[in-house]
Amino acid sequence: MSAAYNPFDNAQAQFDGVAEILELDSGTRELLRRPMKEIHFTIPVKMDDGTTKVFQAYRIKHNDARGPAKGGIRFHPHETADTVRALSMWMTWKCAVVDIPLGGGKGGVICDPHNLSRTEQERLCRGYVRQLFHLLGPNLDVPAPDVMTNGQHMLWMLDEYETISGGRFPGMITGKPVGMGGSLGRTEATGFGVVYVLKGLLKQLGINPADTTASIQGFGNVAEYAARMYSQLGGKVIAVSCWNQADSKSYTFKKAGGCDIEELVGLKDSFGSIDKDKAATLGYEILPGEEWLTQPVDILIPAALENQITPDVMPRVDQKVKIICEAANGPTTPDCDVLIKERGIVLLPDFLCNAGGVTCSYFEQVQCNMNYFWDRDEVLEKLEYAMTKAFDAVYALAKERDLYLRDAAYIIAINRVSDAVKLRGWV
Amino acid sequence: MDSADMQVLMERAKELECVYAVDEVLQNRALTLPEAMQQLTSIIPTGFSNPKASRVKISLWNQSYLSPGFGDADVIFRTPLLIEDEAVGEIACGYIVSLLDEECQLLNYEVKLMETVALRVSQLALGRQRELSLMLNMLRQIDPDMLLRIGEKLRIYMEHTVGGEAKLLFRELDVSTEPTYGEANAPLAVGPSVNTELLARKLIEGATTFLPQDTLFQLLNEWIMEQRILAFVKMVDRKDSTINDILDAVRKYTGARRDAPSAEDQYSQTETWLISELTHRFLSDDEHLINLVLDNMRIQDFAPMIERIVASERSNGNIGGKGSGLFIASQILRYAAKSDPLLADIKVPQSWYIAADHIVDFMHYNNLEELNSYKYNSTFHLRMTYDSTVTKMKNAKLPPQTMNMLRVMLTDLADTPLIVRSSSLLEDKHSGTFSGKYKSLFLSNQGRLQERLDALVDAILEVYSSMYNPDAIQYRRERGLLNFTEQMGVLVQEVVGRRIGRYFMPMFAGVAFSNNLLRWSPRINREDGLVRLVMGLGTRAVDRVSNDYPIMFAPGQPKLQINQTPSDVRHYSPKQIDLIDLEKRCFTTVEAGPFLREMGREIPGLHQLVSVYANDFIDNRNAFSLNPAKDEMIITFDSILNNGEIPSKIKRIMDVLSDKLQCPVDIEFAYDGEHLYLVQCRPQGTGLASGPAPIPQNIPKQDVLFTANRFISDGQLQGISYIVYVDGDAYNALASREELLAVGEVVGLLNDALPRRNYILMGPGRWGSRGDIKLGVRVTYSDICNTAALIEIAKEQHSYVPELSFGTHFFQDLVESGIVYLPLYPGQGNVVFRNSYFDNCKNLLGEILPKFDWLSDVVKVIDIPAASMGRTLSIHMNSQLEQAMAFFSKQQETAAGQAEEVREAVWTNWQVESEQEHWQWRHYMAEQIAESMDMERYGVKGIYLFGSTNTGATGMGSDIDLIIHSESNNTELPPLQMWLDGWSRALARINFLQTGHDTAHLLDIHIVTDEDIAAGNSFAIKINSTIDPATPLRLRD
Repeated sequence: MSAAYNPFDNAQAQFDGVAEILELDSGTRELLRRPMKEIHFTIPVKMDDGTTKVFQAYRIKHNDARGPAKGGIRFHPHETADTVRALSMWMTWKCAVVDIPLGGGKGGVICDPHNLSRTEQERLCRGYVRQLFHLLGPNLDVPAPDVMTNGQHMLWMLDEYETISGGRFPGMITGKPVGMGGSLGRTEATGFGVVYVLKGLLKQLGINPADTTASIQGFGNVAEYAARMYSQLGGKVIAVSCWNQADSKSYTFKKAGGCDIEELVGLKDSFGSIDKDKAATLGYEILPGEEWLTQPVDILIPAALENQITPDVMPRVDQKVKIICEAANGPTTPDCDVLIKERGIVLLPDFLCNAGGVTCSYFEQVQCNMNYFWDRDEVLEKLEYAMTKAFDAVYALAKERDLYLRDAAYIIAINRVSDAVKLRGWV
Repeated sequence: MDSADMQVLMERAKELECVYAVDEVLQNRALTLPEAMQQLTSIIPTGFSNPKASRVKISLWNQSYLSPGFGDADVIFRTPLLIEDEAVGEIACGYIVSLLDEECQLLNYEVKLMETVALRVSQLALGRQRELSLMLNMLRQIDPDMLLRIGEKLRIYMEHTVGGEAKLLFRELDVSTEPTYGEANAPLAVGPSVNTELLARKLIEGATTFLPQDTLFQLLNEWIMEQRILAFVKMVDRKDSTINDILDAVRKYTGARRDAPSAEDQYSQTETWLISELTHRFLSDDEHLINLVLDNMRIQDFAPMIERIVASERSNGNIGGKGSGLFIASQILRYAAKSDPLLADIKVPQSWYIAADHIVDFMHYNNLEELNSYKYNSTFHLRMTYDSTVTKMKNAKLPPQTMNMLRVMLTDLADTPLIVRSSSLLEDKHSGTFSGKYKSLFLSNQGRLQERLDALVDAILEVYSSMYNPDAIQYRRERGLLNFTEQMGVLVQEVVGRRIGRYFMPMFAGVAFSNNLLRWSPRINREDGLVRLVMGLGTRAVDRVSNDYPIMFAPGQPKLQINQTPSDVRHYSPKQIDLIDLEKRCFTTVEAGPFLREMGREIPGLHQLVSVYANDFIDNRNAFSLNPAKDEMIITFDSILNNGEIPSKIKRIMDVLSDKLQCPVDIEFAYDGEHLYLVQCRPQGTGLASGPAPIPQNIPKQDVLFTANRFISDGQLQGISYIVYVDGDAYNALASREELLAVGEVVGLLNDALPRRNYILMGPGRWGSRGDIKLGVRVTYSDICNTAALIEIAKEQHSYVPELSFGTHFFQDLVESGIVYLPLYPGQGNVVFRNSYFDNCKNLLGEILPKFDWLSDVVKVIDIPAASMGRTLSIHMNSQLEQAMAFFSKQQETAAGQAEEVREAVWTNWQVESEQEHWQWRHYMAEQIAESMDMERYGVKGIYLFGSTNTGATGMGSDIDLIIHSESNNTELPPLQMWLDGWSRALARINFLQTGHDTAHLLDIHIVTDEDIAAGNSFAIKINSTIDPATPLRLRD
């Protein structure tokens, strides 16, 4: 990776492109192409050996016109302000595209958790909240887990916040374990969200899901739940490709008559690999890993890795394919978009497609704020509603202006934010 | 009460006091008999009605003891002292009349008093005599020689301390005739032999007379002890005494020690000599170890070990390296535990030892002596014939006497599973550890005795045959140990653990190193150690296993964990468990998940071993809320690492042992749910003694071959001339297992062909993995023993980075041989890895090994000086900075000179520094272009710089973005573009030479016109833009 790569430049360039299309005025452009508030601060931490170490930390709020800022806190030794800036901007658009009333923010601490004991990490988390107390809160800025942070860190932060404020504010942070303010349905949310969007598209195209077939890359959390939901709708998963830990390569498991997802889940070992010998005895065809994308199916769901569909492999994608559903982050390379358009394939962009996770975080916040927790079905029902509604809006725009769905999604998101800043009278 | 009655009572009280006083004197063992008698002469009168006038005389065995002034007294009463009805003396008493106030009669009660005292005195005299005579009589019967020697000592002692009287007593025994003066020319007359009965009588008489009882018995015990030790010394000194003889002597000695506990802590020189001789014979001839044993062991501590040696009659009984290492370690810990409660309950499993020289009898019994010279064969021959040698050995038989002893062993060990391990003479000494080269085998030890015996014999034979393992012989050849007569002892140990359903396993087990060479955090010091921990048998921690990971932690810093995110913790947790299946009677491996679900309820303290993973959250449940049947459990040992004493116990064990052994140690341990057991201890290899090397900052980019920033140890290599590089992608693309195996073979052949320690080996994944061959090239230590460095490349495949070979036996080999180990993670973080170098340099494989020319795509052999203008490769590693760098350098000078040179170099983060350089250089060049351009000729109105060079955020791959403001309808554009193209190519070349980053062009030219600027088209917008505006470099007007 070249050192010249700057994520914030990238994010700004992307925004500039859309701003151009939306013909945003210069004030709005100036406001939205940089964060509204940046806090660069230090956290002194008493280490286990009695010494004190001082950590550099950031909290950057890109925009909170649509609601309290939302975004993770990263612990990373190579954290930079520019990375945090770029990611906070992404959060603003991401919340806007699914139309949840939240803004975008991000935080980070320059540290390597490998060098910190658990107790030191706890003190670091508490220190973060102490320094930032007045700027955090359920109605101000709501952190979440991100790189190298998890539910445990969130609980420490919440506890520190509540200790200082003298009350209980579980909605101050998300990503908490179930029973400690976490929401049910989070495991399923991203995978199900993908299929809710897909379902919306099929409906618009007038296709009965039960008449469709799909091929999925990956069999991790997202892929597994996407496959389950898709099967539940009556769709047939013809092939699943999955990494095999023991062989250090992936295989495609194919059953022309449709895979039994529960059966395949049963063959998963603790590394997430599907036992290929057992699969073979159950009648699955074992093909090389990349064969998932050559299957004659209606829908491809890349749900594992980045840069999987490239101009090189595009010719191998079967002519039958009508939809590519980006469940992973960036599974199709940008230079492939033109080929996808040429083929008339509808691409559901990752940005929209995998927003089920952030939507569920929002639900966690909502439940916490009212201190009443829904059961799993209620969460998923609301998730479906939110995702479908978000998709319908994007689709309608794309149709109306003849836009590629990816572009439509960005446009709608940025437009919503620019409307909000305008309505608030900020510009 | 009238005064007369009062008088009587007073008298009785006086009497009573007198009797008490007498008793007290008679009971005092510190007094000699005469002293006691003398004291009685003053005490007895106090019992009489008129003490002032009373006087007493005691006669015993021709000796008389008188009260002062007895001569003036009129004796009025005598009472005899009787021993077995024979009068041996009397007590006489009387009054000095002049001192009497009135005439006095001996009263009845006074007579009674005298008689009582006489009786007591008789009893005492008898007792003292009898005790001594019993002892001497027994000695006379058992060991007349000893009686003589002790008698002599006693006599001399008495003559020395008492003087004339004692001499007189023993005169009768003197055999010397008239003293002669001057030189006698006639032979001396031979005196009569000593009459032991007379001697005994005299001794009794003398001793009871002259010596206090305590002194006497203490002296006798010491002398007897000495005599017994003498017997022991004889036994140990005789080289032909059997193990049983010695065991017998140790037991006798131990018995004697128990009889004389007072001397517990005083060790005579003789005893010191004995311990050193015993150590020499059974344990080790290492001077340092012997000293350790002297500090930490007593003679009696040897008995439990010697009792459990299986050996022939003629054996010297040495139990071999592993056996003695563990035995000595256990003794050190036992003694250290006296002052350290943390070590109090550290145990060592019950062990039996087959003596190392037993193999000689075995070979002789089976006519296998030809194998003695087997080791001198070429490695090739060894490899070809190893299998048949093993077969030959496994079909041989153990001598009948050994079989009998093994039966005894199995009876003693009952049906606990066993581990049969090699314990050779060479093994586990400082000079080298044969880790993994000699075998260790698990036995379920279930069934009838004969079945158990058959299995045991089979295992012993297999351990024996591992002596001829080509790797082991190769290792010995390298270390100059080939000519040493290797003998293979066998250690049979109980497996630590408990029954869990049909299985037997320890709750956890692992291996620990006192020096941590794999530090994942700069906060972990080398001395914090390293532990590899697994559930079940420790085999998975010790051996390299593919597809699975042990939990690793530094016992000095157990809370600094390697894995941070819940998904990583889950991914890198142990997924399989090695254990013993008691039903199937075999060692087996089970999947942790199903096993824990099924057996979890039976595993004590399970909640301390596992965490629950749910929704990307790791939860450490308590015993109550953990539900093995439902929860997704992952083995983390979280509670043990964060709360328990285990890490500090392991650390303390290693600290104590490395302190005593004066070297870092490598231990194996197991925990059965109650106690921590030490199951092995040996010195840890320390090949990489060199300190951290400075990372030079002044190396031009194109001279750097690779850099690394994770898991760096310390050291440096200079003057490397060859690289053997296995291309990861090409290796993965090989179609068949045979082809994959051939790569290992080629590496082995190159190891013989290339100059020793002058080449480095680089390749993908886990070298030497015995699991999936795709994970790394299949080699053994002997295939790579000549390399200077083993470099494992973890190239990210998809989102997965393969695990490299963290501390394993293989790794230890490298460390001991001084082979540098370095992991590379290309593509992760700011590291350099010049793929192009390997692709572009000439591959010598076909020339060196024409037969394997077909593998040229996979294995590349690069002659560095030939490919890099006469330069060689240096590798510098610095664990403090967590940086390593391999770079080409011109100087072929000595390491010292090199060190001098780099010490002057600045130690900074060269990576960041050079980013600055990229920018400055590009900016300067952009200015040069603008300056040298003939703007008139090419119709150029202005030149602008934008993008990364303008903002100062360039890397080595960045281009220079220029906007050329051209006149409209410019016909000179083609020559302008050609002119710029020349610049672009030239700059790209310079950039390549500086950084190794290969691109065809470095300039990114955007030509705009007035119209574009007016319309704000494409890049024209950058000119006069408020956001990130382009910088004008030169404008025509």
